[in-house]
Amino acid sequence: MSGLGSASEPAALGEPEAGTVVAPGSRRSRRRSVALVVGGVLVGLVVLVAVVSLFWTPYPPDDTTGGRLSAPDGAHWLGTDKLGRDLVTRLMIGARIALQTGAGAVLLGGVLGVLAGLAAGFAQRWLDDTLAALLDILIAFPTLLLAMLVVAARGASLASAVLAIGLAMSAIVARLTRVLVKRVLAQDYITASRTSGTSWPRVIVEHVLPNVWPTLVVNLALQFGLAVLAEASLSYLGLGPPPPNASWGQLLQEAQATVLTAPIGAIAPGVALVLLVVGVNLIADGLRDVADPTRRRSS
Amino acid sequence: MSVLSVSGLTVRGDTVLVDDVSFAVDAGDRLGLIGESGSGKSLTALAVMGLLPAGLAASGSVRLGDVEVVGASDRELTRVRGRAAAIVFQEPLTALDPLMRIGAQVAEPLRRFGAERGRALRAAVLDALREVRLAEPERIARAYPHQISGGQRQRVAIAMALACRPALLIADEPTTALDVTVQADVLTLLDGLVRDRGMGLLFISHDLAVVSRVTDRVVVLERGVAVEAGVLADLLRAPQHPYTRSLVAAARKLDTALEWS
Amino acid sequence: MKPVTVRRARGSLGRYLLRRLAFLLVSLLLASVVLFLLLRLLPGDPANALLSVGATPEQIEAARHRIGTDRPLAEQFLPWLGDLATFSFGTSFVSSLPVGPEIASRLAVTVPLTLLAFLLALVIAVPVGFVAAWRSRTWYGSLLSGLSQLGIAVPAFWIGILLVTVFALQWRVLPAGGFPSDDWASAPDALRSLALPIVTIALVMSASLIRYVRSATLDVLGSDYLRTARSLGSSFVGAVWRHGVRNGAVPVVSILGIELATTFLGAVVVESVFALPGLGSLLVQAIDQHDYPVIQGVLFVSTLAVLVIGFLADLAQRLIDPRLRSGVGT
Repeated sequence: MSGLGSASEPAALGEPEAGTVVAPGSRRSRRRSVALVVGGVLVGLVVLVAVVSLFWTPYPPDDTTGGRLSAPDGAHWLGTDKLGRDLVTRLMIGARIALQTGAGAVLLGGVLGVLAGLAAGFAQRWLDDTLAALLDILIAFPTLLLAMLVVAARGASLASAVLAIGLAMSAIVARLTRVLVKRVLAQDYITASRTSGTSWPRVIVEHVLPNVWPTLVVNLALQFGLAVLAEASLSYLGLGPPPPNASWGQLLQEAQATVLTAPIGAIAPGVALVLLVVGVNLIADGLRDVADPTRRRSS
Repeated sequence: MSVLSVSGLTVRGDTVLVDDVSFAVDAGDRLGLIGESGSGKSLTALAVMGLLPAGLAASGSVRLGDVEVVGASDRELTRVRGRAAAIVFQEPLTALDPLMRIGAQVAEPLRRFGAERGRALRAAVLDALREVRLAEPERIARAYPHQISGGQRQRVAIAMALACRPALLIADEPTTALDVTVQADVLTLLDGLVRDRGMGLLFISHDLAVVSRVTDRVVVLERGVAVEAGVLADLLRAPQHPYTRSLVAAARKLDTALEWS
Repeated sequence: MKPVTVRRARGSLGRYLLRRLAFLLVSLLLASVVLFLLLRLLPGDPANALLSVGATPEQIEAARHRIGTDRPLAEQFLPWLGDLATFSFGTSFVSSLPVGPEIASRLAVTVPLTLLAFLLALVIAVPVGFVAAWRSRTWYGSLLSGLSQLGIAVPAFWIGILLVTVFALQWRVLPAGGFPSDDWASAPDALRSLALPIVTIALVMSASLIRYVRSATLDVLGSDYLRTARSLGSSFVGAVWRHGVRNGAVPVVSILGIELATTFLGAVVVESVFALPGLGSLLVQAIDQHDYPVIQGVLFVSTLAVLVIGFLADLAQRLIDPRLRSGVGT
């Protein structure tokens, strides 16, 4: 559940969303392209802001000269927080943190998960059952919990967050990969390939991976959004990267106490989060066509 | 009076899928609808039942008995379906509810169109299964669709359709998904049952040999258009339209023992 | 798939239950091992946490003896397991109060919170998801679908903050946080404290559930068996009720189990927004203070809850779907 630590979602579990077979140029395919474009724009905006923040922000991150909780004006476009720091600056930095967390977690979770899933996909009988049960238990373990344990051991930082979220994600990716690999291995062309003497490594590279990666990519895109939300929750609980590298979640936590007097502080970071995650989800939706052209009929 | 009268039926989606098709089936009549995949024959059958998928619209006229199907409300159609016409689909595994026992599924139309209840209904279910030549009807009634074979499932589907006591039976590629050895049996069964009950039959298939066994007249569909129609024997002997000719020639090449009366 | 001759099914449900219970116990054991290793491998001796409360070296040594860290790792496991099995969790390092009752009073908050939120989420998600699928080609169908898209992108704590702002701070109809200190002695008060948290969690959960219900409904509406039922003269409502509900429930039930299980501890964020004394908050606090007995106890209880929920969900699925019962590699 987004923001609450799980990644259960139709696509996250590898089930294609029911829909008509999408013919190129059809109405549904056009809707998918729109999704891609809109999603791309949203994410692109955030990326742009994050990149710019590396070189320039309206004010230095720890500049507290702005006067506490001031309303938006010419000097501070979105006002200031309770310590006088410019909100726009903090939002820009938050964008960077969000993207770094997402990318880092997806990288870690993706690599670990795919490797583990490949191994599990080839396992048979009791080993297979055990691995499947293990994965299920790991998945039921809320991401937040894992994150808390990691933070308890390593202290709160961006790296801790990435590590924890990435680990949690790897279990989900591993389970999906396992299911996909098993599905591919059951196909006739695998048997055909093996009987014609292809070695297992080549079979993996030539047949398994190409059939598996489209669905995985869609899933990883969704996981990116979930990672961003997980990091926000962590920061909200005070377990995320500390200031000045504060993330949007941190901003919301700080703004909660003064929400009536300075509402923008409690609204803007939330909106930013939603925009980024919606953008990522739209991209994932748009990619679904590319991912699975042999979708089931719906009518 | 015609059991089914189709006049100028056109089915449109993003493109025209069935184009101005007309034919009629009387009681006791057997009409075949032949065409390759994409010819619109299945859509024609669905249009007759008012079961076109969302996004497709029918125009023209389809009269089942004395009810006009095109433009009718869903409530009106619900009253007509089953009674005026029942349909047997191509793929019996997905046509049956996977989570319900066979007996319960057969009981549904029996309850709707018959007077039996309780024990009498259960007996009627077993009778219906026996009528389609299913051995061990008690076992089959207790089973779930995935526990019986494809041929058995199709017989169950036929039993369910017949339980409605329809004036017209539409069979949409009923044997295409079955093993060849089973096909002949199911066809014989259909043939006999339709004849015994004096129903009209609309038999849809891409297979000329199969159609020639069960029907007397045919309509040939090519890409949604009815290109030729007539008595089957005449068509086989002297096909007029080039498409029909290619169909007959192809069938002849595959089946040297094609018999026509 | 080869057709299988009809097997007599009598008695296999009982056998299946036994098998699943055994599996549950084994999973619990497995999870305990994982838990044990996880806790013991955290850096620093747990008893050292007592240093922060100014304990004497003798007291620390006594604590170490009590939780068994003065013995080699292998020797610690069985007594540890025995303790957990009897739900004797020891006493907190920080408060010196017994852990069991503390966990129980937290459960009195978390369990109703989770269950009620879950029910509310279902009440919202099932009709909305159904309509979103049934009328998927209309503007409001697409709107509903789009809203759920939005809903899964919104952080739960943000919704909590917004709700608190409007209902508690602005309009003052509900409390902004906290929970009555006498627990459920006054049910209306307790429920008032839980109202906003329940709605918060339910909104987030339903956004996710809607997508599943919608997907399942689309499958059902486009299914061949529904078409068959209609072709035999069944009304739309009748056909959906008799065939659609059960078939549609199959994919949804499996996800319900997962959602419920993860909300149990995952609700900690919402608990934080509303200052609720729930299980998740206890865990965060305990981790922060390195209060080992508490950490152990909470993790064990929640693992147990997760496994039991999973077991029930699996059972429900098997009851609905006979294809899952035939076993033998179907």
